[in-house]
Amino acid sequence: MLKFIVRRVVVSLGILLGATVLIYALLLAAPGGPAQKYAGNPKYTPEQAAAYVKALGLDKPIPVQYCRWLGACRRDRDGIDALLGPTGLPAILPTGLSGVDTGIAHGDFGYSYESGSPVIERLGHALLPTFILALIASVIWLSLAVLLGVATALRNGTKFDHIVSIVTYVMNSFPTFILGFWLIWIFAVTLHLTPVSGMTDGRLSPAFGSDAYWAYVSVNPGTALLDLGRHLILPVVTLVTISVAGDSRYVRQSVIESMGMEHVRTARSKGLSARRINIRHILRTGLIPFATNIGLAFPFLVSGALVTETIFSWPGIGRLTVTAIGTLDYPVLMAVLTVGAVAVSVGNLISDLLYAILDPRVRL
Amino acid sequence: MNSLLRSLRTIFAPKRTARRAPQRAIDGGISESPWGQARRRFFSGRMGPLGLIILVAIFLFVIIGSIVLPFDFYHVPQPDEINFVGRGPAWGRPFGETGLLQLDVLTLVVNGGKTSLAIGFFTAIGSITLGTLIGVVAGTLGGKVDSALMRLADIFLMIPTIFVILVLARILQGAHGGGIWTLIFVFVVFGWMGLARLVRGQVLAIREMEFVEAARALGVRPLRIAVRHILPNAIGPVVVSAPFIVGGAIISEAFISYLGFGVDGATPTWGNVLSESAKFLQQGNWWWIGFPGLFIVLTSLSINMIGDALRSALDPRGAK
Repeated sequence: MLKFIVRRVVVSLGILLGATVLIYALLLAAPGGPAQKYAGNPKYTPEQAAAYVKALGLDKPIPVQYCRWLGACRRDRDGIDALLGPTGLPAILPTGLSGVDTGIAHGDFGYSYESGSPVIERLGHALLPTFILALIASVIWLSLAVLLGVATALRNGTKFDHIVSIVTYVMNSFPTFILGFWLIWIFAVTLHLTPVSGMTDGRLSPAFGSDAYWAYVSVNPGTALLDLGRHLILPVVTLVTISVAGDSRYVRQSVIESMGMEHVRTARSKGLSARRINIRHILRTGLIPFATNIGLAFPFLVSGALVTETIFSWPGIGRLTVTAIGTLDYPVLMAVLTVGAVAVSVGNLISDLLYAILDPRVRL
Repeated sequence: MNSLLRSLRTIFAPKRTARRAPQRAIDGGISESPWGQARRRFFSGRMGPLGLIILVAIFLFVIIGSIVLPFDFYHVPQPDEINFVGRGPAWGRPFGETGLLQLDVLTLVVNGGKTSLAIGFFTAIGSITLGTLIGVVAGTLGGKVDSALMRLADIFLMIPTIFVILVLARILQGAHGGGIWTLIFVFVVFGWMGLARLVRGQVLAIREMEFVEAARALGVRPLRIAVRHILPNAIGPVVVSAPFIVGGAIISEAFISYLGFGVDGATPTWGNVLSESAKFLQQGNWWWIGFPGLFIVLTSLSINMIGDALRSALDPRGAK
């Protein structure tokens, strides 16, 4: 088992490194960039431009620039020396060991072009809203998917199964943003039951995440929570509806498949009660594929639901990304893509481990 | 209610018992080809044909509509027609008007649909070509080429798709202007991985089969084996995935262009015609987002129905 985990982690790190190269290449090909910051300014002389490029290290070969961005090379050294930190250990190692604190490996994603603040700070602000939305949505969505999937599978062919199957089939075809807008139209604009968008009511409290907001929360915790809850309803319903539609069909299918397995027939022929067969024999095998899917929900917690966040102006990672794309804020985009890749890789790892633990047929 | 439900259910679930094979195939001594079998299974279900009918209807509506109602970006409303929020559905404008420019939503739906459907189909063609090519190359050559290509697929799969597609679309839009081919290129570049893996798996399985071994023993060249013997047998999953790629591309395009990072406004699509609509939704203009949205949903639904029916037609074991 340990050997499997170590091998799996090493392979993931390799692929992750490849992903950073891809991300770097992608944004290298992009127009604009730091050297063009004052390109529109008539007083910006070519000498100043050259000095600017030199100061930013953009005159170095691209592999060196990549290496510095990654944090595997020191910025104050050239050549092979740059690979080692002041302590003599490789620069890629954590700051405590190598003494190097630049580059994404050390959490240094640079500064946002748009706001001038460190990218890591902007990510930090966006992470909590995404986490709140994604956590609540995924808890409801995963439990609802299992409940509906199992219920329809066990009542396969009944009226209940028919209704749920039709509804989930249609819902499964809905694009998230269309569903989101229609929900806004029905519940926010027409019925006035929920707010249209945002995370907090601007007339009630300061913007979410600011110091003033937390001060407000400590004074009126009840009102603040209620307000947040009201704003959560539509984005959560959108996310849950779309995800449950696909996943409950998936659960239903795999439970129905496990119903036909031989060990279930054996259990039946032994005369076990239907309840016992359902729980011990059918569900245990039928839910394995879905349980491993839970690992795949992890990236969702971090990268969030970009579409949903955009439509409901939810101040999370997804909306940060869309804003940064609009203004071509490269440091933010590179950070978001890297964090997303790390999340996917961790999610895949969790999924593989769960599979290895849950499924006795997988021998390690 | 019950009977309505039952009939709906029979539409949405593939029929369990396929119609019997044609008489000719049974007693004529001629066995039916696998593709013939699949076609019969597809058309004997209810979901596939219904999906096909809806999709063809949308196609005809969009194509005929765009001939009858050509897109006019510079439409100017008469003084007595001016209404900032846009006038609602009425006789002569069944889908109402957009806010702001007061363009006819029906005109936008049919002209936008033409572009959106084209993007969906060309994306599918591109992704399938690239994915199949990479899958076949990896599967037949094996060894270092195989592992290099599969690691490349892993790398591409590691970055959350919607994020990277948006970023790349925006970058290329900045560099080359937003055309439909730019967007199709982006979809293809980040759309080949799943297919390549699928095809590679198929090729690896088929490569070991006896008829391929027989061909090899006869001295058939590797390229010919790949093209004539392996590819036709590995193509099943590719056919099944085709409709889903079309649907996925149409939905992604709609969202990207809605945000303004996709196809620019001079060429209407189901996405960019919605670009200002959210603001007007709050002022009561539901038809602007409602009708194009309805068409996107119907297209996506019919494509899923076709895809599911194809899956059960091509893989009878999976048909439940």
